[in-house]
Amino acid sequence: MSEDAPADPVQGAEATNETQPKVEKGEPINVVVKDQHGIELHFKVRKTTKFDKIMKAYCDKKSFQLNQLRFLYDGERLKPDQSPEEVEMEDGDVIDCVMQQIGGH
Amino acid sequence: MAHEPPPGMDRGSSGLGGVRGAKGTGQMVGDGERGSIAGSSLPARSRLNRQPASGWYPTAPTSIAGSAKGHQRASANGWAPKKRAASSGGVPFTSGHQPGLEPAKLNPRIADELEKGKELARKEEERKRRISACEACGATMESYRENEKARHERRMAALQSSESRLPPVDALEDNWALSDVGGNGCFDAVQEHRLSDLFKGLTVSPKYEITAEAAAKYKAAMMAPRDRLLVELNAGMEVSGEHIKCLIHGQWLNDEVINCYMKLLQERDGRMRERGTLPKAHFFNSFFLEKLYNPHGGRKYNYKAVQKWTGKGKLKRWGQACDSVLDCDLLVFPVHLGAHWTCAAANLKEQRLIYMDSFHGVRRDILDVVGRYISDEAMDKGKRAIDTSGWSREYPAVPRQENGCDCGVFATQFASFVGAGQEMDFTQENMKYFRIQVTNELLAKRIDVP
Repeated sequence: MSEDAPADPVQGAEATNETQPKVEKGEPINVVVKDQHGIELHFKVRKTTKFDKIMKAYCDKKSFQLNQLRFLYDGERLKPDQSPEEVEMEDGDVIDCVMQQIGGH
Repeated sequence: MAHEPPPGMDRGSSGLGGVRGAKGTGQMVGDGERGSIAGSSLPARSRLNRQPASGWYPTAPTSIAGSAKGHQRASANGWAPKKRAASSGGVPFTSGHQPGLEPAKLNPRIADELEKGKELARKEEERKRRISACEACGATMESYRENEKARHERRMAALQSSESRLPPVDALEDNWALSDVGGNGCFDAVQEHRLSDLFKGLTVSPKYEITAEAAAKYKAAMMAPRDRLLVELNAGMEVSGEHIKCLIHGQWLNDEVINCYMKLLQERDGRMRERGTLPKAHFFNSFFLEKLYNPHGGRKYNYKAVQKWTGKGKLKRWGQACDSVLDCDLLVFPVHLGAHWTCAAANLKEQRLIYMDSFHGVRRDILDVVGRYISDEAMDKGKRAIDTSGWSREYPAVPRQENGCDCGVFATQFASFVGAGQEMDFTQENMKYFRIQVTNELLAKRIDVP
């Protein structure tokens, strides 16, 4: 299940925003979003792309609402306004996607 | 299916009739097909003979209604495709065909009548239903509205009285939360009702007493708009107005609240560690066991999934001073079982594995997984072997939950009391207090030793 399409327009937007810095800064990496059942979805994003875009693309793809899902990178919550660069993510790293947990009885 | 005869047919008919009506055909071309049918019976018949082949026969009688002869033939020939072979040989009208013809002729009228009858019946039925609905509840529309109004007033009165029982708090006046109540539609009637329930008939042990200030803060937090960020901790943890509403009496707790509470417990542990009064504890988040084992789903042990979760940098950010979780005395795991929160703990010093379920459930598999994780973690991080198979598995008689909504609160308190090494002296009755307490602790970003 590989899916590169959602990330493509994202890259374009990012590239136009930062004009003068070198292109290498936003070099693309592969990010894998893995759900509880171990099903993976691959995204190709720039290191400077906010997770917001990945999360939204994932939700669209899987027909979830954003507030139903939690995205974890090595056990830490990812915020939408962070980017792979900030959390020192490398090529091929896995983001865990878990459903929200509610319990009463 | 076309209702006009196909072009091929027209050609055929004019070809046949061409001998007799040469002058007529000149006209016919201009008039179109209908003229040609009415004009000569011979082409009409030949046309009819072909009709079934094109599947056009049902409309045949009406299209050649101009000639009575043609009409009869048409009905004789065209109606029943099965008998076509016989009728094409010029067999006259027989009574056997009559029933087939009747309904078709009467159909529009009957259908019309039927339609009218059905509509009348439907209207009558609807009228009856409307009346019987009122008879069933014994109320007219007006009395129903009055009832609703009275109920609403009673609800409001209950809320007012519960408010008046609390001493006024000045800070409440300029509180942001009260100023935009209803702005977001965040506070629906059900929650209001539950909240008003909270303050009446309250029996508390002296230790767990709800102060007016705490109650007011709690209430303000519950009324906060859904999108307002109330608690923000580092490591990306936050609780918004939407999530804190799960602490309203009767609601189920969600992972945001549980995890922020664990984080704050970890910070408390860090503070107290300097004094050396508490066991050194590590509090995991609620997704840890889910990824490691998934106790309510796959039940597959997968150490790899959480291998990187306890790195040194990660522990620092979480608030853990130790380099490895195994340097602690106590590990605390909140456990999510689909619709139930429980708490597991591992006492590394005394080699005990403890499972605390407010329903006194027994899950040996979870304790086994915790033990196995400790072994694997020791092997992976410290390169030493810990055999946990001989550790005692305990299911202590923790305070018991007596409703269907408080298990999350129980779980947080199990974690808190175990982390502080204290006896659990609360009961189901104190859960209202703890809901307020947990809220205030989250808002203050600080938990103290119970």
